[in-house]
Amino acid sequence: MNSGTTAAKSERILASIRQIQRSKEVVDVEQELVKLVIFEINGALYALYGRNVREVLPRMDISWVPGLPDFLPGLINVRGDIESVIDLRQLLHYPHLELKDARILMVENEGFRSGVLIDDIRDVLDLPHNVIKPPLMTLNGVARELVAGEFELGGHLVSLLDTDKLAIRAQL
Amino acid sequence: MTACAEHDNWLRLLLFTVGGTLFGIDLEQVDAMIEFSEQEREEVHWFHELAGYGALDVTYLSPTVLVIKTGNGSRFPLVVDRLEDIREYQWRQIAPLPPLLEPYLAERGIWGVTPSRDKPVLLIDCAAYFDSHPDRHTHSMKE
Repeated sequence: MNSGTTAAKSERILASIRQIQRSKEVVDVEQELVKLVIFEINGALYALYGRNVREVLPRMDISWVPGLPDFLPGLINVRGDIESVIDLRQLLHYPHLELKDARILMVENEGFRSGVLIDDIRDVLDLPHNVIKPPLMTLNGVARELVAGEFELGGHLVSLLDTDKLAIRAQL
Repeated sequence: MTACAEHDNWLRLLLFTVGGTLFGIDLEQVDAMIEFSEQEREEVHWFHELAGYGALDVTYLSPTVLVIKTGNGSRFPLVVDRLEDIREYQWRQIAPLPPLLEPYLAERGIWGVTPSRDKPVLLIDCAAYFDSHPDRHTHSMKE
């Protein structure tokens, strides 16, 4: 047995293994997953990062408060904590509807916390980060202000909302 | 007084509803409660106008006039709807408004909230409101 040849072969094998590992790491980085909460408003699909959604609440009584804009319908009592609610339908200028299946997402991000009223929840998914593309320049109005990116899901376009922008828009 | 001791303090609130929303006012601000008379309609302040009900049509089923005593000694007649209760709340039971709503409500004198039964009580400082909006309120009462 030629030890020099064996060593060279083992080196080749190791080099090959290392190459595979490196390429796997690259793939792993590319496949970094993000949790997304996907929901529906007026038939359109939207999403928020799962890390910003503390919980999903059933539709509950919202106590109306005077002096607020239409997209802030009032207050909810979440186990003794009084929280505000943003009506995304109103904020995105969709027609007002009272839906019995509506849900409230409790959204939290760096000091901002509020319930967000949606029509219905569709899914909670882990998706590769790289499926999220920059938003289309054709978006108009408030949606353009709030959307951080877009992705396709089952042939449907989903608009990913930016929680920071949502907080800023709701305080204007 | 320490902050801890202050939290053990109590606030006596007069609870009333207007248009189905429950409000609480510090009883120390209420100098008198008077039955509303139609002849005084033009000489009083209406709560829904003060609190910003906007275009909402508000019906007063049991109107009562609260005489609000302000910090500078003025008195203003304010019509509210049904008087619900007088209750004491510990300071610790009162929460600030959710930050998102505060900018909209602070200028109306609404400053806090506390849970009560099945709906929250909005705490309103009518005295501070009248004191800070002297231009909007001409119906003050003589001593």
